[in-house]
Amino acid sequence: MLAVAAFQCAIPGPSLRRSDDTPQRIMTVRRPAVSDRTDELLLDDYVHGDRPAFTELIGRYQNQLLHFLIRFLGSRAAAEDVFQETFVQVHLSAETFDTSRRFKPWLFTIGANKARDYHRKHGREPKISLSAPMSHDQDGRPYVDLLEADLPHPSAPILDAERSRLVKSVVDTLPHHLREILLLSYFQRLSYNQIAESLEIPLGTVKSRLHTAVAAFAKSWKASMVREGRTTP
Amino acid sequence: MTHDHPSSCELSGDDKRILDALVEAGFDTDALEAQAPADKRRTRAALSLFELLEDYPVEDAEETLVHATLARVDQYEDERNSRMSLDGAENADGPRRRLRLPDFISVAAVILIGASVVWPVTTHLRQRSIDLGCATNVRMIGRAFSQYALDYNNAVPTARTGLFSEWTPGTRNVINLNPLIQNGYCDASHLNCPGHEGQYAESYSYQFQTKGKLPRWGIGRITMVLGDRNPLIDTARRHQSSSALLNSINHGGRGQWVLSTDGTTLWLTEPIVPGSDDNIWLPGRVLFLRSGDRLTDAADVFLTQ
Repeated sequence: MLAVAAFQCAIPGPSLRRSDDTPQRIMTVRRPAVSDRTDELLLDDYVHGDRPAFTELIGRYQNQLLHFLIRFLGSRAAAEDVFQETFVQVHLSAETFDTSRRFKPWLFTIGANKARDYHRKHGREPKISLSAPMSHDQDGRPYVDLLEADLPHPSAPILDAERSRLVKSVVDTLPHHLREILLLSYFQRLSYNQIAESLEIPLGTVKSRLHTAVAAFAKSWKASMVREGRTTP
Repeated sequence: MTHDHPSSCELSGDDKRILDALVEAGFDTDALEAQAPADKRRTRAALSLFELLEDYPVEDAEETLVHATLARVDQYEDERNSRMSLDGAENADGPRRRLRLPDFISVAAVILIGASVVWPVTTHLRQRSIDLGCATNVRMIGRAFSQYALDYNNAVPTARTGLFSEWTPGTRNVINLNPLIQNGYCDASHLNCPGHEGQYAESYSYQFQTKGKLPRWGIGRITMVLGDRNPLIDTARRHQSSSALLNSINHGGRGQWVLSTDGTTLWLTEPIVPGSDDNIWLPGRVLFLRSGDRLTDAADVFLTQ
């Protein structure tokens, strides 16, 4: 059963009321319960002064966005800081959001921008730090082949905690621009076009960056497994 | 160990083709059913690599994150509103009409009524925003202490010239927090309580660092190491006396946040260690600060900036 409740405007949002508000909207429109509304509707409601809608929106993405930021920044404290900055920006830009578009990619675009700002302000660009054995093509150029990258098998004798540690160490060494594209493509399931639009870079750059990111990740993973004695070079 | 430039990593041509298909299919392998067997194995290998990312250690958000975020938004709005000024605009349609006394009275009455309604609400919101913002800071500092303790064998940060045998009005104990910022354990902004209007670095007070009486982080007896700004230091520096039970000025005298060596943060409505009679603003059992005061023992809490 679709739960419905009278739309209430108990606590107005901060200075976001639009000039085209009508009394009818506020007094008579019946709205779904906050938890049943879409992200886009929640943001629109917040723009019209419904603060609980914003609270719901933050709560809805608190884990997903925080996890993305932790993986991107490599630090929980930094991720919490950037998480808050992201929603301050959402608050500031809410009126400009086109509700015919999806909220989630927009949110993660803001989050990624804020995380990049954080890196610029505080971070040092990491370097891929380990050499791994690589294949070579006919011209002698090195390349990574995923079928030879010795990826984990379910029966591989490696503890979850140890794998987590290794994955963190490998991901944290990836350059920020590669880490960002890896996370956006896999966890947010963004297509190449969506990533290009989000990051405002050409489609070809997105593709080549993801190719490089996957190759770098596979190479570093293999190197870490060799170093840990989990596989042979 | 060598440092490779990421551009030196190239995917094989087959991998690039498979990866493009996987991304465009939204990592849904069912959508790639029509692939040749060799491509399926390659897709599986690529997917396994991405699935490794799920092993990256992440913890769920704490319950306070939503409230802290709302408080940050409120704080931003408060600051923005305080920056805005009500500048009168020129009337472009012609000369301004001269204001008469009844106009002034009407406007003043509206402003008074509005202010009497809005003021308590905004004051309350601002206090709530400051309290939550400060709590977030103290929690961040607690995390920085934890990281520092991991790297330095459970020690708390101490600056090279930061050990004092006795307190004097010139003592700047807060310099002992500098290693946290200088070594990147936390951001300088975290050492700035939003309720404190004064010297940036003296927003919080820190356990008086005396050789042989330094607290240990995460092990041994739990004690308090950090709190809001100590109000008795200011009066002592001015050679004045005041009640030993004053609360920090950071929160309008309503109380103070403190941080314990087990990483917990606590709101105290009076400056007394719960379950004891130890005043966190004073060393030993003295009732007011004087030059030459010392810690009685390692268990004595004395937070000072």
